[in-house]
Amino acid sequence: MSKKTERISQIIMVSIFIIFILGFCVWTFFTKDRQFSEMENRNLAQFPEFSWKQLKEGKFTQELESYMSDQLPFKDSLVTLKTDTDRLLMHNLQNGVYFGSDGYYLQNYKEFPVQVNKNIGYVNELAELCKGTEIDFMLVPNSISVMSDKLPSVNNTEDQQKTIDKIRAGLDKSIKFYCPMDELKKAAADGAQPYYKTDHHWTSDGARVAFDGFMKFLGEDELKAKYDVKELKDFMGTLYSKAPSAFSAKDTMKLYTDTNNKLTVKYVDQNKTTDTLFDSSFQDKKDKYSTFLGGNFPVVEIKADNAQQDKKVLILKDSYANCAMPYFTSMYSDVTMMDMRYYHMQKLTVSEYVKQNKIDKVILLYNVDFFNTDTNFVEMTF
Amino acid sequence: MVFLFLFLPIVLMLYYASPRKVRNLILFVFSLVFYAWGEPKYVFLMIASTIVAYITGLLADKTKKGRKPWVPKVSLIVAILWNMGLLLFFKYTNFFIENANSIFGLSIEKMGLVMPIGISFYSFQTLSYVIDVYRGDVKAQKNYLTLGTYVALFPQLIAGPIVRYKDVAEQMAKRKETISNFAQGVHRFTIGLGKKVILANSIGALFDAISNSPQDQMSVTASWMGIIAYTFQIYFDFSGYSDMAIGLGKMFGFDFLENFNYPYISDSITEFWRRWHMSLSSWFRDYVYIPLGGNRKGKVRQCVNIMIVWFLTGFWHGANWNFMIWGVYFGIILLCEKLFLLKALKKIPKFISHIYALMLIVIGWGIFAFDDFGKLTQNFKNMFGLSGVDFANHQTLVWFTGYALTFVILIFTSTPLIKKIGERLKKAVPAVYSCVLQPLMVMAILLISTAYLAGNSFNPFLYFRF
Repeated sequence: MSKKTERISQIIMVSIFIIFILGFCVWTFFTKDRQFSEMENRNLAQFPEFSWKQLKEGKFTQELESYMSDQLPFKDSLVTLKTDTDRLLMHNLQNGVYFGSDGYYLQNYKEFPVQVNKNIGYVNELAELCKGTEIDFMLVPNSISVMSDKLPSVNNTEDQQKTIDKIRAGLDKSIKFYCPMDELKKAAADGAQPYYKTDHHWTSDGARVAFDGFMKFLGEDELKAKYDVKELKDFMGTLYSKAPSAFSAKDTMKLYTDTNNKLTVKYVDQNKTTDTLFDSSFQDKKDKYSTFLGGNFPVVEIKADNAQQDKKVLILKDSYANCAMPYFTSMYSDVTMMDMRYYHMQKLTVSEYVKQNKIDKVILLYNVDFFNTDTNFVEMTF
Repeated sequence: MVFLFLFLPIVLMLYYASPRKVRNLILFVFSLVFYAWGEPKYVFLMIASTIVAYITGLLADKTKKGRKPWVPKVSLIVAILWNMGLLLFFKYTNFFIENANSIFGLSIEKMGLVMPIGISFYSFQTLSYVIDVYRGDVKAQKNYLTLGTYVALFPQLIAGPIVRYKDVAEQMAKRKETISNFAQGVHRFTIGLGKKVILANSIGALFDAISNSPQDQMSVTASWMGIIAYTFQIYFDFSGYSDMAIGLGKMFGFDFLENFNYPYISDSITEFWRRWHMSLSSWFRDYVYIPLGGNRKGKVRQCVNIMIVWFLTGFWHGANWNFMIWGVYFGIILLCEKLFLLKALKKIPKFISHIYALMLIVIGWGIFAFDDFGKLTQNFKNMFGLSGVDFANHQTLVWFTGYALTFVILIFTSTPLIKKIGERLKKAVPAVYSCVLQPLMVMAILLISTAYLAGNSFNPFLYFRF
């Protein structure tokens, strides 16, 4: 090799390195800092204030570390690069999420028997407190069990059916328990898409299939309402955020509106009333699923003027229920949604609420992952 | 990340922007900043240690005229006592208290001591300096700053290699920073970064998963897989640090000695220790084994010396019984090899002796990896099927399929294969290789390493998930 090419190669090497480290340095410190990361759904660390006291306690250096890692230029793309490098190395499970076939992300499942047993107990206690009122329970399996054929062949996720059977067996006989596993599986086999590829929720279509099955199980009439559909494209959900890959498919979200049914949607603690189940302010954000009712709130009371049945229903729920509301509100004239994660220390306990508002029936709508992990079921029993 | 994208650019800029005379000062100051970053108070301990080395070094110089003959000897003893005292105090006090408590049924309270980072390394460095001066191998350094820079030099401060003063004495005073050196440094540093951030951390995740999993998920295969994962993790982690240190050294015009030389291609344990952490084994050889008489005082004495050295080597790695066992374990194997085994190994086919060496190395790491004695024995029972676990189970298969490819890559990268391919290419297409391929590789490793660093700090807050 000639002296000249050697020199050139050395200069290339040195410049790459200098440009690389200096570039990241300048970019981090001299560009405008981001406040919030949609991808990570959290506020990012800002430049720490300097004081000798902070420095002495080692806080300044610590905060500078978090500042630099949070404000790293191209962070989201870099994380994507990492995810895909790991995928290339055949790490199918990242951050608790499996990369399934056909672009499906599937959230890993592991039963927590202690929490499940506690929650069964709380639900039974609620049934005891609300004696005389009908209690129905729809427990929704997650995509990992319904779409289990999409899983990588070697995996060690646990079977949700076992948890479901355990809950069915543990619940008081007065509770009408329903699990739409078979219906959802059939829908998936028929080519419908009951779950999002990139999010941990079910789709509006999945919710419809389950709703129909639920009504049939309860012996109710079939839902007759006609819906207008609006589509929201380019939805990348929470599972994508956990393991962002450059090769992820995008989801489409469907918003169903029953045009012949006028709604009054009252967010009780927020003192806010609207006439729609959708909060359009989330349509262009990353967190598109919050378009359904704007997310989760302690109590939302919905009145429908043209529902099939004139009934007062209380739904104790997680966010899976949010996209099923178009169907519930077309069926029942008075629907109250209550989220035990936020319904804390309120004036009325759940059973008092049922009595005072003359609720005809209580519906519990939860997904298996939630029932398996959530610690707020105890609030039902106060 | 702070190091790569803030500290390093600033140091490099200031260093190269300033005249030669103050470059040591810059290195010294920034090394102290680097050291103080995580634990500010122990900076003063390091400075004190350097002052002791400075004074005892000056006094240990025997060639100085008009000095009473006991002075060098005493100052050498002071240096030894100071350094060993520091190590014993900060690293081993709690260990001794713990054992005294359990043996004699005492309940002495443990001291709330946090071990100062890098103390094992810089103690050995300052000590070697004074000993070398005493022996007349090197002149005492009259400039405190130069000596301080040597001790605190940030590339090697925390994880070695143990750079000896006599190897860099000349470079400390006058060294030449060249583009060629810098380019080599970039290459070397990047390789080290990749080894540490991409390879070591990836396979470390497997070891963590396996060693933390409940006993009912374990199997014979899984426990071997775990310990082999650890074998790779510790090599890529440690040699990655050494590569980074050597590379950074080159960027500032230093030439540090090599610390690793593909240890896992060894055909015997003797060879392994000539390739693994070379700066440590040669330190013990020069400052313990040979002063004890080495092999010059008969076979028995030699055997005793070997055992002493390996006991100390083990103990140096940490204040715990398993490190001592680990040291003694290698001492015994090396003794056997020296006495008869090495001859036998030469006669059998190479791949068998290679398997022999690898087995012993892996088992060695099995001792090294667990400082909890219960876990250590449990793991060995699992490895040899003495605990009734299955040979393999479903969980084993999951781990295996997830990491099979990683293992293949690790096996290749721990041999000189890639280096050889590089040399071939360099011969065949010199210009393409050095102006295109090599820079591309460096760029790719830098980018992917940054991605992994970013990924480690990436924590989606998805609490309100449902």
